[in-house]
Amino acid sequence: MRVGDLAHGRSGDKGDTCNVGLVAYTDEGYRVLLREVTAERVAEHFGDLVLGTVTRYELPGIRSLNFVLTGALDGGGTMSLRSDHLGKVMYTWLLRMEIDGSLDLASEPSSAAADPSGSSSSAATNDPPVRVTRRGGLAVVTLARPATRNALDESMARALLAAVEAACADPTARAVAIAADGPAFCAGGDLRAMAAVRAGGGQAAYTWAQPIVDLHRLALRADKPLIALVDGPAYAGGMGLAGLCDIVIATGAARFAMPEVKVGLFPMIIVAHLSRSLPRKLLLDLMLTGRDLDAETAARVGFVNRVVPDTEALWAAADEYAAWFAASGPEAVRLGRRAFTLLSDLPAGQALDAAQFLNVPFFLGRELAEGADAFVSGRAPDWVEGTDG
Amino acid sequence: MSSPERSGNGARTVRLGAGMAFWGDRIQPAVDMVTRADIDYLCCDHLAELTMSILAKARRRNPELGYTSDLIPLLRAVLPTAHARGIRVVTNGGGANPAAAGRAVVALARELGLTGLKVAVVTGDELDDRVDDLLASGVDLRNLDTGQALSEVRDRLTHASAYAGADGIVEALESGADVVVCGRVTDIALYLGPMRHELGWPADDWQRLGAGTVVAHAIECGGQATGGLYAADWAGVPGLEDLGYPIAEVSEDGTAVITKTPDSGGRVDIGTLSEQLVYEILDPAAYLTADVTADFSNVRLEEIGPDRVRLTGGTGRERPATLKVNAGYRAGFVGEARFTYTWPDALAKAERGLAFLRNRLALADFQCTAEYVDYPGLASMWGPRVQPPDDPDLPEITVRYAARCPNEEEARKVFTESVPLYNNGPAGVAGVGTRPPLKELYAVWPALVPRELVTHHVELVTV
Repeated sequence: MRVGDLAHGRSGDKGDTCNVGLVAYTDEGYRVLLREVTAERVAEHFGDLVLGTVTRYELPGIRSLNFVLTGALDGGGTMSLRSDHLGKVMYTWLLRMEIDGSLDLASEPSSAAADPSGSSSSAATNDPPVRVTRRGGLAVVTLARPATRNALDESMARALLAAVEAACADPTARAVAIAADGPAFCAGGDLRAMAAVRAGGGQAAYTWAQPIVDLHRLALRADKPLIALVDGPAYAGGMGLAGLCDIVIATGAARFAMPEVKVGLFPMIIVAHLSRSLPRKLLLDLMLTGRDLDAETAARVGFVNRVVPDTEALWAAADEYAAWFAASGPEAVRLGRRAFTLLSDLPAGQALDAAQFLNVPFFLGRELAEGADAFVSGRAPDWVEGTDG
Repeated sequence: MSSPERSGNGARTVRLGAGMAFWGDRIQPAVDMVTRADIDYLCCDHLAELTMSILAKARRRNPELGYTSDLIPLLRAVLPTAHARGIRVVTNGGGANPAAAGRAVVALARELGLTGLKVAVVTGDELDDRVDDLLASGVDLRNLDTGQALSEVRDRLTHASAYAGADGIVEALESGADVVVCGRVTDIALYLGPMRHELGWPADDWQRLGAGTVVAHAIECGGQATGGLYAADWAGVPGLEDLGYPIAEVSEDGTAVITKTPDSGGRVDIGTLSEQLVYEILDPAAYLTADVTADFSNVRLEEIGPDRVRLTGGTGRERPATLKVNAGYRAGFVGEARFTYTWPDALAKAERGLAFLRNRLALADFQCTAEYVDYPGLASMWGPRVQPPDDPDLPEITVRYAARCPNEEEARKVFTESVPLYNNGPAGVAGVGTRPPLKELYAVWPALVPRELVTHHVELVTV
């Protein structure tokens, strides 16, 4: 497939700089362009026609990408010896570029089903499905199978569960982030693996989701803030990952959808968390239609805490949150997060009774004494790590 | 009639038509617009990067020239109708000599009997006579791209002007002008001026100025918004020969409905406008103009009727502290030759012919700073990315050789040394042609000037 199958365009000049605008014909096409037509690939495609740099900008409201190519017109319109001295046809060269036009795995089951080789490609690799790194007090668990768009198959779910559990148990980690390699955050369950479950009968159909259920359960009792860093499509179970986190930070490349109904499934497991983080009617709309939600809209309805312009800003925002958590009382955050989960699901009267009791350890613990003293004497609190009492 | 209309819900709108998109554009779309469309303003952009160098040269030859040669023919065709219908005209066709253009417009109005017509001339963006004073006062006019000092090309400078904003236009409209003749104001300012005047936007209402800038950008290239160059469906655009030019019905909040002259060719839809919105922009979140830093990044389009599209989502931030300076300097000449070889072995013969030309040029002690070879029709748009087909059965191949030369004498050698191909070179050649006119090169010198150093003056004459 070529870019021109998904988009039209126009190009023009500003001095020696050429701009190439691409306009996608459809929303789906725009998503493929976002994934495929990167600045790096465009630079490679134009080769020595562009002596300077290629920068990509996004205009999601008109499904458009703008590429700015410097040193691209042989000195500019008034100096150039080229026949196309104003760059008027440069866009047609980009429309010729070959791309992978497939949609995300979760929303495009036919391509997976049509592949008789069967086994999911994640099984074909020995690389660990996740990678754990640190950014100060933030433990970052990165989904590391971009080739399968980080599909949430059994091995991925188990690895993720183990990594988040370990991070929660690590006293030096103050918060846990889930990030992803590659253009997609997570494409959700592996449809090929799900199809194979049918052969196992009722018991297999019940247990296949166990690691994912365990992961969602862990999020309920986790005693550290969970942050999702979403820099691409988060579909189906992938959207569920964002849903189970406390904080979601997303770039404009993020999209959220639950396309299960399109393949005869329902986004069952993730209802528990999502029904507590999205308005009911919007959630039903998304679950019953399979349509997607862009980052800006998701932020407007409160599903995303912050939308940032690019990947760099995503990490800057993550660091900012990490710094806030690092400055908070660790015990207060730990106990507070668990108390919140409990209280927010109780009827109001019971929640108030419970809250009164749940307050007690805060008042008896060491942190309040330190925090209050630091506040009164105008210094930063010196939190003591580890369990209290 | 030129006062802004109040629609049913009481909101004010102003209707701006794009009458002209470049020097040499067709005049008929503007005529059709003032005759058939319901507009308050006809906005006409005549200037491109290179235009000012050409106009400054004309002014030096004759102090009554230096404005674009299409200005008077355009106004001759539209002014009687525009005046009768209360449509005001804003143009930057004054180019390098708006004062002379104003005098010519007044003379035209008298000839046409348009008594009472008020013509305003906006001056002040011209920097030609101020370059040395600016340099002396510490404004270094350093090249924005290369960092070079202006002194390196000072003796070759052909003109310098500031890309000015809408302030002068607003002042002219407030004083009642029917025709506003400007010099190097930005194409955006031609539209923002009437918006500010009619909709009462303060000069620092960045949000609405940004929104208005996006609207202006959508229509200021004329037929490119209404189906011209439409890449998505070029075969499906009706009536290209009679393309209607775009009109923006701008609301007080800076959103607009884009449409076109009734009963004209072309079409206005999300596709045609999207292409134009991404034309000649850099960072869509920071589109720098003299009036505002506009933000296109959340622009949205909605089709609300046949050839009617609502444009929303534009916004803006504070304008830059500096104005862009457009200066030009002489940068040599282009020497060019072309010739065609035919079957059999067309490519091999063409390569031999090209080697012949280069060897002849070397013998003539030819000097150039850059040379370029392409094969029109086969491989001419993509530089080294596309090579001509190495096919001995190719019916024909044309070679174009071009070189940037330091002076006319060197540039002339290119054609001279290609002429012997007619009877000294390989067989099967045609199309060497007659001596082409030499093209002089003007390089653009982009620079910045503090905006407080550029002030518009408005002079009003009543016919």
